[in-house]
Amino acid sequence: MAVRLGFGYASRTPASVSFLGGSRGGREDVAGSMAQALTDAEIVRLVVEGKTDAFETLVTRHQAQVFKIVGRHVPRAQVEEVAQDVFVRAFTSLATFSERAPFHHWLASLAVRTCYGFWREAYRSRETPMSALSEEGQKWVEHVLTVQADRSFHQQAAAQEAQTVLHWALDQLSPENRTVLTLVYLEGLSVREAAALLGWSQVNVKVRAHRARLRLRTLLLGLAEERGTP
Amino acid sequence: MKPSNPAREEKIRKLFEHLQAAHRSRPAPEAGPSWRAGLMRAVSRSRPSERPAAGSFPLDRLVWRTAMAASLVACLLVGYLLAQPESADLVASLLFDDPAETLVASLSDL
Repeated sequence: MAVRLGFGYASRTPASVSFLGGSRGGREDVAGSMAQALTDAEIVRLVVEGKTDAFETLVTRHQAQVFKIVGRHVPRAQVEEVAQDVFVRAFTSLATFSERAPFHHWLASLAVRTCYGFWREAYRSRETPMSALSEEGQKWVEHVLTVQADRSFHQQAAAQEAQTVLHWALDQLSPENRTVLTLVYLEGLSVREAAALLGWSQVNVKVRAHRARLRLRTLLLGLAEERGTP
Repeated sequence: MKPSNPAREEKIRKLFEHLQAAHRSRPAPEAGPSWRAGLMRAVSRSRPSERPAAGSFPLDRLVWRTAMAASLVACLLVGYLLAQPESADLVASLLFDDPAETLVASLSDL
């Protein structure tokens, strides 16, 4: 099964950063340069056997992709922290990597599940009620609905206000619905791909996606009715 | 879901497409200069879990793998018992909380 999210690259990507860092011994450096030539699965075996320094090579290879996934799921201020959680979880559960799927698929799944866990925790500890959409966000909605042509489509999308409205809308959803909506409707993954990443059944993802879309539709309808011109 | 008002549906579609584009236009963040060092410190404090020994099979996985078959067998067994005319008294005693004598008598009949 092809899982997207920007992981379509060879697993033998040469590492650009020194394997063990400059301060380590020469013998380990030799091992490090050797690790750079190994596949992900071979490095995983090395780490599980106790050569934990080899893990840095995996970080180097997959850091950009993990940041890309995490950056699309959690607020910018939390990206580094969540990305670190992803790699620490990967390190502590490397023994469960079965090699049936490529390492980057396994890591992508771990990244998505960590983001889902982030939102579950965030919602659990949320003390303040969900806020109303800011004035800037409301103005953006009004502007989008009144602009006729798609000429400024990209400018509209790139606007900070668009992100404000998007975050506001996603904040109204449960962590489950938020994650599924992000994967299926915003990222464009198939139900099967989203289910594989989350480790849920396809039926569960389908039901959640349907509910999330209905909820989003209600939210957008409210915005459109409130701010849109007839 | 049947679109009732085309103008309203168009507004929703337009907003959704813009939000989708906004999501996709989010730039991929990059790690700060000290991020890698912090990560490797956190990693050095953790320990990787050990790979299960060859041939070993975790009990929890066994339970989940056999759950469906076990449920099916249980359903078939219940269906078979309910279909037996001799078990009617037994079922009635179980459902309607008959005295223990009825239950014992039914069991002895079976």
